Amino acid sequence: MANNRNKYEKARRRLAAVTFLSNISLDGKIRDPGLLQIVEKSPKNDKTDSGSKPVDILKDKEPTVRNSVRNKNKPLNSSPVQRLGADNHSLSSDSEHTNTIITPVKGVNTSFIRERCSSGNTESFKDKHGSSRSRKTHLVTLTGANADEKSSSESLNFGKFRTSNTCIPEHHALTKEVRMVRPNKGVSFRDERLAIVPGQGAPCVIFSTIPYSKTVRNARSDLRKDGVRRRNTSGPRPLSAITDNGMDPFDLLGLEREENGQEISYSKLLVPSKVCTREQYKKMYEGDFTEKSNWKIANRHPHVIARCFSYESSQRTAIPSSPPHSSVDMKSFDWDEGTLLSQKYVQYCPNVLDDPELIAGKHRTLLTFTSYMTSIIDYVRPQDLKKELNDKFREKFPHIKLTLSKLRSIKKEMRKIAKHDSGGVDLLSVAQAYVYFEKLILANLINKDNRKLCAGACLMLSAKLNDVKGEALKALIERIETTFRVNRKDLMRFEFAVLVALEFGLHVPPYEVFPHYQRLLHDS
Amino acid sequence: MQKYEKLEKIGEGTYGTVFKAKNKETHEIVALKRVRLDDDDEGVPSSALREICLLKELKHKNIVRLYDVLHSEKKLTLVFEHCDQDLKKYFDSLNGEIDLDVVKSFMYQLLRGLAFCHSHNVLHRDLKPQNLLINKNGELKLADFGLARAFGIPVKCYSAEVVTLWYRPPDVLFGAKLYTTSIDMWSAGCIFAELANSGRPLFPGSDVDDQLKRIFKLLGTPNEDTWPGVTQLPDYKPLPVYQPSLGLAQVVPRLPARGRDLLARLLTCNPALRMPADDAMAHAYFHDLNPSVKNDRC
Repeated sequence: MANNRNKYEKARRRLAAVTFLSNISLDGKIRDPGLLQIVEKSPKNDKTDSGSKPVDILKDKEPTVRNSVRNKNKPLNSSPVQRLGADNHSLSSDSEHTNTIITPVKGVNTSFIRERCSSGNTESFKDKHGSSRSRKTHLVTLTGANADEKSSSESLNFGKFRTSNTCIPEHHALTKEVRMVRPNKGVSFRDERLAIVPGQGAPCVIFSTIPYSKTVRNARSDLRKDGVRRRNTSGPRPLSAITDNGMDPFDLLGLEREENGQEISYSKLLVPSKVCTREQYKKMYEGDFTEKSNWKIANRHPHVIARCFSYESSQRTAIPSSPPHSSVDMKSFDWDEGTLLSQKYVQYCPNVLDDPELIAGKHRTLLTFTSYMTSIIDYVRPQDLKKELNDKFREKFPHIKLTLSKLRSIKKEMRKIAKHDSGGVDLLSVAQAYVYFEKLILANLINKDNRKLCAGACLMLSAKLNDVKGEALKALIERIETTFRVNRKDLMRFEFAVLVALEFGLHVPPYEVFPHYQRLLHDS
Repeated sequence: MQKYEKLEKIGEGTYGTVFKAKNKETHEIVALKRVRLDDDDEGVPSSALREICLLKELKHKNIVRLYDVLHSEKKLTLVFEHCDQDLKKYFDSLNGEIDLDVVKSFMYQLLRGLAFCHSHNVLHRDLKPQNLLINKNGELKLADFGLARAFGIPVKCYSAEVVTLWYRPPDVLFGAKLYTTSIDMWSAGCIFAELANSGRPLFPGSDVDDQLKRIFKLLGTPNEDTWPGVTQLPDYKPLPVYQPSLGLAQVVPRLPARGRDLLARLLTCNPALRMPADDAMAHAYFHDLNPSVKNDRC
């Protein structure tokens, strides 16, 4: 009983959704408030069929009669196609060829038809469905060719189109015939997106069937599989010491390392960063911390522009493969060269790497009407959006061995580490750690093996410079160890390596930190 | 091969031993600060981090120069410019009164170094005679940036456990967790008075309460009128109301009127009204400063 009730709930929801979707016409008006009634009025004649092969349902007179009544005010065209076209509100009324196909496109679970059949309360939905089938019928009447169907479906050009599903059983039918297309052995709607396509090839109705479930993600086996795979590639490394594998933090960061017991001199890194002083900065920007101002800075320093734009350039191929320090011979070192070296980090633009604008894909349609504009943002699977954003990011920074989503998730984890009930670390430290970490990324020093250690080290360095000490610092280090699953010894070794990689430039100007800080404040 | 030859131990710094050493090639005398690195500990001590990262950005003739950072498996060595003595030792070595021109010169150099720090978003937070180095040429340099920090973005999380008690400003004594360059200006004021008195500390308090009482006995107890917001400070406690009875003339008798005026502007309880370093450098007290000191730009 409860089961039945549950099914009824599901069916009701689906019906509501389908009704709503099919009522949206291309010009944005809802045209048929009467649809629901009609649907309910329709005969409950297909209660029994639950077979796995296609069954044609003859709807005898009623649907057609209904249609002709409703279309009285239209220029009378006896073609049932026309009438049905009008009935199908998503079709434009002037379409001559309403050859429609129900085309399974890769999408979500569509086992609904069967479910509906077994449930006594779902006739109305089925009937509605039946009417869409009737569109299909007319397609067949006019063209009646499988080939046509195929080509039109191809013109849809959905990326993940499954052609094996495009063949929907065809039947030459009378105009009054209403056809049900059912999943059978050859055709399955499970996990499909359905498109109803007229002969011209433009889809007029596209919908996905989404099973109602609180754990809807679990229902999508493909997503979960994918997710797991992804996680495996980036996920928790066993707690083994990175140095046990013979890797050295300095090697990982591409830095020179000390030979046994010998001291390495870093005097060349002690050249002041070329950042403008507070006064210069104030003078120039009067406290305006927007990204634009940073670009303005770039324009003030000619040879820095190139650097900034090089981030943007997608054709950037000549990436210094060897780290800058190791390529400099100590003996031939002179201060001028050192000044040039530190240019690497000079023009850091806080929003260039993790662009806050980069949150939505291009799945947006802008509709301009006479009195208003509106945009339709299509549903996009998080996974697809992620892929698109990561692709964009990779296009912008081809040399960076980190995806945008990974960068963001690491930053999120850094934030999580800092945030703690018993006196965490302030957001300013987190923001500053972001600056360090992103600078390392921009310098092309971060890879899969070192990113967590580096992120942890950045957080630690930033906290130390922001008056985090004693117990609070101890607790922070412990949280870094557990969250990033790194061991302390490695973390400590990476701390100095990161310090060197950043050329001791931990004293960063406020305009580099502030945008991050603002975003953190905003998000909290 | 060691680049430096240790000559003698100068002292124990906040995080390690300080040696006087000689560069074997150039015979230049330097000061080495040795920092032990322990993997199981908390990594690079924050004081060493601060010194490295802040002094990297602060190249100025009135700020001690960090020449080199040497790193090996277990230790970190910071190589500093060596100065003959610090201001404390200079006071000790004085026979009798200090020359008032020297007071003016030292004070000006202190302010110039501070102004440079502040313009680079750095607070020193531990100004005291021991941390001001003096060389043979009468040059004064700010040293020991182990407590220094950046102050670019104001957040209420700065440590209140900063500055040696005698040189700690009243707002920090009341537990202020947000402060700015004014913290160093108070210390500079205290040092100014100490200079003028040939090394006698101005407020040698024994604890926070005593320190506050000593300050307010001279300057008067602040209230919401003279210092809006004082009662809101985290560790504020009502103290006996003292009237500013003693004039500065009695406290620093040798200082001329202009000097006393500058001192009064630095020793202002309300941090918002305390004079900043670059304004102090332009004060009338320095009008007759020896031009060789004034123009000696870095």
